[in-house]
Amino acid sequence: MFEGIELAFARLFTWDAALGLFIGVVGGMIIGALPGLSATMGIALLIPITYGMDPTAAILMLAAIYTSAVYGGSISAILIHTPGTPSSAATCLDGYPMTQKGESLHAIGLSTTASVIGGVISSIALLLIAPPLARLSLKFGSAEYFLIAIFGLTLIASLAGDSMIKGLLAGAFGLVCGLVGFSPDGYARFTFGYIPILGGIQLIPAMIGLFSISQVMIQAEERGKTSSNEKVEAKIAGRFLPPAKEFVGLIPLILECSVVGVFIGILPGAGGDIASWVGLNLAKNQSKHPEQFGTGIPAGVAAPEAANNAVTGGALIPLLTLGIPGSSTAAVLLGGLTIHGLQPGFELFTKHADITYAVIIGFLCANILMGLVGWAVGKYLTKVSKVPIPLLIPCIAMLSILGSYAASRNIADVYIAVIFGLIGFFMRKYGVPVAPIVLAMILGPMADSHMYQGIIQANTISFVQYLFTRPLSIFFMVLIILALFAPLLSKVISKAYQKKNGKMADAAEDI
Amino acid sequence: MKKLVAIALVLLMALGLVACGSKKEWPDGDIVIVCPFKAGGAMDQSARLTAEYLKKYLGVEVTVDNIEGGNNWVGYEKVLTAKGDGYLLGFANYPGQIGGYLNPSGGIKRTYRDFTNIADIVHDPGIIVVRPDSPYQTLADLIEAGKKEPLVISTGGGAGSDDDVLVRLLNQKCGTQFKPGGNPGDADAKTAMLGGNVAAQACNVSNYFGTYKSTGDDAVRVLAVFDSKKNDLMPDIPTIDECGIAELKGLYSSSDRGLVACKDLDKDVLNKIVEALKKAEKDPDFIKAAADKGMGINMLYTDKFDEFINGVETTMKGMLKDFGWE
Repeated sequence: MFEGIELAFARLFTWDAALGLFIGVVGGMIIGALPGLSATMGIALLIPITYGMDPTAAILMLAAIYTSAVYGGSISAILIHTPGTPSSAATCLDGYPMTQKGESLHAIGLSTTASVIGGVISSIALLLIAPPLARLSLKFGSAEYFLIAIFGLTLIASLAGDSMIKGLLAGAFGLVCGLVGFSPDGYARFTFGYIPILGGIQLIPAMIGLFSISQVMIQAEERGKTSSNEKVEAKIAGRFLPPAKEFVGLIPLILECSVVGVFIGILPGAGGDIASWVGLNLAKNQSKHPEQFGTGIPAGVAAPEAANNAVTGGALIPLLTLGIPGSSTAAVLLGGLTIHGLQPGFELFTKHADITYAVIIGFLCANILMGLVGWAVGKYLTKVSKVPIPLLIPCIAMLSILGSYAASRNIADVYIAVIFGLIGFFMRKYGVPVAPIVLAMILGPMADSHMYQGIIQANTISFVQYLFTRPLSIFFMVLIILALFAPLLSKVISKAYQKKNGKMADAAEDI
Repeated sequence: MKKLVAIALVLLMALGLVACGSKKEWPDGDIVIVCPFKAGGAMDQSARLTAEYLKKYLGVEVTVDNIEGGNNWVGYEKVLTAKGDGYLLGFANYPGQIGGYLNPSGGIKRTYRDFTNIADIVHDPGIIVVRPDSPYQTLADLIEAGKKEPLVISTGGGAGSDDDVLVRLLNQKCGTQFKPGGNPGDADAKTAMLGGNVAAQACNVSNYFGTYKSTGDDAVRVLAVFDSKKNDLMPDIPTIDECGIAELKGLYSSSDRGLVACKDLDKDVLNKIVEALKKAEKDPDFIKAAADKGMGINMLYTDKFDEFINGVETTMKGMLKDFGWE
């Protein structure tokens, strides 16, 4: 099952890989702790920097940033009541009250422990689920890939957050962007004679625009208004490691949230933000005293933090095996894989098994290292959020432009990044989530290409008939029908939930 | 002190004049090879190997610059608009480049004639493979079956890719009804073949040279190499001429990658590059490095190279209707 895993250790125990791992963990924590910088944005910005690196070190660094940033976000949530990333919005509710009660270090310790457990479980899930799934993917033909892509697209509606219409709008826009360039049968679509986009709109510049440049503009617009930086710094107090009794009591909850997080991670597009709310909800439902949530109780910190870090490894499962990102951060990681010539699929586990397993095992190490680093320096991370935003904005803007050019050395990509930055800015201003655009830009062309291949493979029968002759296809069609009704269900659930707990904060999208 | 600085500056400027006056021999600076494909792929590897050995025999730094976009035409355009001083060269693939401009919907107005085609370097012959449990033991079996019913052969590229052209050529020569699979890349074509969703896969020696004898999950049976001579990387596979199919005698297919430059490349420079490549061609290190990466080396220089590209273009022009490019 794990052919080639022994070679992975040789790749993992190199200075390059170790350095990538360390920089990823520390850098990710800083990115996460900075309000306004999320894992998705950090990775989108850093992919071009990995260009000249060894693929193992590069992917490992990006994966480490992912998990570490999700954890780092909780520290700002706990200490200054501002989620460092959207994944930690749920942690604010109980994390900050704990700080007010003088238990800030205790809360950070809980978040660290829960994040490490969530992350480790998700890495183990990745190691155990991905290889057999990759093998199973050999059984998938174009018909199945087409349906999987459609399945992913149906989830856009359920991930849209507050307004399904806005989510669908973003998804439809992403689909249109995905159509640009040569069609599978060789006709140039929507290029308007502009040759640099004959090959389509590149993902990396589009994502840099949507996630980074739009964020720069939003921050710039808020200049002068009160920002998180001016919030009073909390006193660091309490003990870091949770008392043994409390920890043992929390273990079942942490484990359960981790498993749920992994599943949410596997679902295309659903990321850490959703998982953290689901985790918190789970904790509440199980608690004998649900009314205590929001007053600063340990379970309110541990549950969302275990769930959001568990998402990270889960999101990598469909990414590595099928090329379908499990979250918007994973979508950005897909760009990182492809610039290193690593095409998701079965070959990642055969031809490139050494790199893939090195990344997976390294990811496990990253989650453990994250705990150690968090234990050592976590409490000082609030200092990071004191970096003045006027200094940060130009740096991010510069990196965005450089990054969009560096990936393919095509100046048209810089224009794309800027245009998508403007689009992202206005969309976010009007509450339209940008994550569905990226998901649709990946899944749209995938559906397009596999439908074309499927029509040819159907050969003498029609494509629809072909779908019904394949048991796996029928299975996926059933899944799609279920997914189409999921938004209705989740709407009912979240309405009930919101009635109980107030508004769901503005963590509609995982950026 | 100021005087001293001034004198030093004057001297420096004088030095500059000296440099302007004397005409230095090419090359006296770094050479860049533009690769219009992404880093890490087969094209990039070929370009980097070429750069390494040009460096060895020209004695200057030769680097590869991956400029993607526009279905490779952003990079090609950069090569075409370079100065003819030989410091900016390019890497091109065939028939990919030809398909790029023959397809009218791409709007590319250039042709291979707009380049100085220096040398064809990598020659990767086409092959046809099937699953190990396939009923087609030989190419003849597959052709016979293809005459009776429409069978799909997966291809690592759409209309105009070498795999696609090969399948269409089979139909032309033998009257078979094969359908090219239209898969966007070799990975998809391989998945379709291994998954049993198509009858066979058209691809190249480099795709399977390392694994074609494997017995694991990715075991395959190679039916034929579409080349005039036995392939060093697959010595036990029959060439198309040995398959005993009369209609297919002399049907050669390949994906080729070569070094190109802008049209007005200096003639002396051209000769020097050709000389350097001729030395590399005989270098055992170069041959070994190429073989390790599955690259067959079959150097064709200048006129011979043009002749080869022209042959490919003629074949493809005869298929425009087939491609839907009329």
